[in-house]
Amino acid sequence: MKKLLIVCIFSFLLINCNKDDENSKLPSCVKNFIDETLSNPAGSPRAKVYKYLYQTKIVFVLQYDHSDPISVVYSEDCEVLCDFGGITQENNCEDWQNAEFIENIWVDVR
Amino acid sequence: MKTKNYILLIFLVFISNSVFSQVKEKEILSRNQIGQPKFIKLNETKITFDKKSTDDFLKKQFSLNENVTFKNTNETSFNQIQTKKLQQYYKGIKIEFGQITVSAKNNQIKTITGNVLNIKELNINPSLSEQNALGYALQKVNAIKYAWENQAMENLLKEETEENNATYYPIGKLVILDKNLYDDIQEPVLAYKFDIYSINPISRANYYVDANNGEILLVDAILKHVEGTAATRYSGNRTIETELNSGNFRLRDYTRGNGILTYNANHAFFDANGSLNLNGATDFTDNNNNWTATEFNNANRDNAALDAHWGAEMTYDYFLQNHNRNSIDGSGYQLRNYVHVGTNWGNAAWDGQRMLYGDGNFTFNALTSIDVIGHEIGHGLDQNTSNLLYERESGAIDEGLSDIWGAMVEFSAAPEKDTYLVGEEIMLNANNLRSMSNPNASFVAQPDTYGGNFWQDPNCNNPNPNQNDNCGVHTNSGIMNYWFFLLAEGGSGVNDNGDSYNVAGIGKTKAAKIVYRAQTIYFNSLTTYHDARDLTVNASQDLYGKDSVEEYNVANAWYAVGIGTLPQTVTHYIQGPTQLTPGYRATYSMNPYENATNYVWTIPSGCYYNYCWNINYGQGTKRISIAAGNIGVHEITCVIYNGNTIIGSQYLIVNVQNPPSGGGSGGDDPCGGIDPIDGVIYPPVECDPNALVAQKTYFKQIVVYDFTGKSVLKTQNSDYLDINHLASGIYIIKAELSNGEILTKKIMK
Repeated sequence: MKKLLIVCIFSFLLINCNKDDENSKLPSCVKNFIDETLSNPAGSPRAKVYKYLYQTKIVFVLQYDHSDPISVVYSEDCEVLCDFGGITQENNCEDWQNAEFIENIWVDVR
Repeated sequence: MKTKNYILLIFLVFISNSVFSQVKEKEILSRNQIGQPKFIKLNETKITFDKKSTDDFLKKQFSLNENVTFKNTNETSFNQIQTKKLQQYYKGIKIEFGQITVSAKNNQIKTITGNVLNIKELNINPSLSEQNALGYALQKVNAIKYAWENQAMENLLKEETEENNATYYPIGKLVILDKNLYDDIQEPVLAYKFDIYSINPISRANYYVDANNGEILLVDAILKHVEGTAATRYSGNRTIETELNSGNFRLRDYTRGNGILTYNANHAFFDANGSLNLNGATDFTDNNNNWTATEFNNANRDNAALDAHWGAEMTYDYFLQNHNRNSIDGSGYQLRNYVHVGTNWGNAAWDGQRMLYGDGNFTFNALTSIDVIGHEIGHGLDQNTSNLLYERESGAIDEGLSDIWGAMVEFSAAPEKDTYLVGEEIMLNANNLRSMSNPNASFVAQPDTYGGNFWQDPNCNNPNPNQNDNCGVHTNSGIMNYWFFLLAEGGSGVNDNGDSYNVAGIGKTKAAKIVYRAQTIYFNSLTTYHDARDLTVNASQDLYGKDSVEEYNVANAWYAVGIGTLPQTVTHYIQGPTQLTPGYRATYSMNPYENATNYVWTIPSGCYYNYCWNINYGQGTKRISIAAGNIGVHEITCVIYNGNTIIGSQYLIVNVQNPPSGGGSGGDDPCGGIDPIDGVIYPPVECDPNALVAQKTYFKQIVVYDFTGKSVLKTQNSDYLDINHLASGIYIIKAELSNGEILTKKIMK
């Protein structure tokens, strides 16, 4: 039982260390977005961060948590590349249909 | 003993003086920027409310010298609390903003609030003459024309004040003003105060001019909120409410709720911090409140701001006037528009707190058409009411509701536009962003049938903005849009399920009332389309009673878009003629409701010459007799009650048209007939405008005599007597009412 508890604590620490480690690799704009979102009441739809491969580069899609939501595409250097969504659902990201989805980075699960 | 008494006396004097001169620190609740108490609440210190005690206290508390006096400007009493407002003077000259409010109970001062100006010594003899000082003020205003130069305004002022010498020409008053009104050091200055009213550009303000050197010390606007004219981008010239600020007008309207403010975002967009930074936003301004196309229809598309401002005002007015709602939260929520968001941004959004509008690009014009504005503010309404989860079906309903509000705001403010096209004015290469009347024909095709063509799977695994629009919220909203269109306007056809439908429209106003009630009372975050059907039916029952025509059409319109079953035909309805002429008398009846205790009828108002709508008898019963009034399409309604509870509501559309000239057929033409129901003998205006002879009783018998006295026509207990077949001539009508009264009337046919 003691051993099991130690294993559990160790696993928990490892997972969290990994998470911290992952978060520390995120661009500052993504971290700021997450922090700012969490500092306000949860909106709808949930704020989200996705990672894509877009035109041979890693990009992050930040979806804001309000109606007619805007999704803004950031480079790893926090440069705004393009956006889509809103009332018009316009996507001004050229060739976005060939962007490759890599993973969900974060969802506001509150 | 004597020594002791002296000591006691000195002690008492000391104590009373200290109590009298200064309140306890804990009784000072707040101080101004110079540390002076501005709110004192006396819980322990005792001071009586009489003038001398009050003045003495104030002078000691604020260390004021003998040259300072206070004049009582207003004294009131409410609920045993006495209040007086005191104006401060120095050597008899008014100190601007030196005002203290003192309240008391049982003649004991309880609170002291306000500001005083502490003046040790000040020369009250000005170096400048009044005329010279006015010259400085006018130099500052620099208007083209002033109110006193307009004879009509001068005359009106004289008339209103009943004073022949009244004029807008500024008269300087010597006052004392704190030059550093908001700083931590007081600096009393002798000044002239002028009320200067200019009409080109329009402004009115009090100008304070230093009486020794002509410096303009303060401009205090009198005319703050004024109506301006705006040449909007999409809606022509419109009246807007603006604010005068430092000689210019800006797009701020504080007459609606807590305000409607329109800012220039100066192309701010999401920044490297991952946030939208609008700190650099500025006001749009105009110098004469005439916001012309020459000035604002420029390459920057600045006139889009005028649409945003006007549109938000119209949206506010729509909800207040039609749904008694004070802004989106019901409490006057301040609506803030940000125009020029991003660079060539072809979008608009509600960001949870404010509205964002882009300038458009090669696909879209500036995103500030009236329906887009109503749509975005509609999202704010939803956030404050049902707060629908913005994904899957609930998100589609959210989108549909916003389109509905955009359409209704557009119809309310600009009925000449196509109500059911969304964003038709912002599209550069298409005729709409969405079509509520034909969703399949939207810019991006939408379904008109639940699960039909163009329907997106609302249960997609991962609501994702770029892959599936949060499971199709902007696509599947076509169902909500088309349902509303059918409910309001009616329509027939076959849906994608192969079901035939035929919906009779109940009109935009009623449809919107049902939607508003459902959204604000019954919808919740997870409402689905099938829930929405049941909840809107429920809302229609609340408003119009169970088994009403409205309820039937709500359910019928849902059936048309593939939700729910075909409802059973209503069993209650109003019977009676639907084509009328002015003055025509008609009977309407309702098949009885079980347990009904009262039938409350509502008929239109308005007259055609001297023929006005009137209920002759029957109010409260299931059958009424009415007289028709003005021409047009009208509604007759009947609300059925059991006690105080509405158990039903029905309406009937009637069309009142011009009466045909000459004789009539008797039926719908009052020229040829006599309606004996309540003792009214007529034909209408062109036959005999003075035909009304009696009201509110029945005829027992009517006899028509020709000019020789011969009886030519007779009826008993009839609802109508047709005289159409009688030859032209003069006739005497003798009618016996049910109460025995005899009426006679001569008519010419």
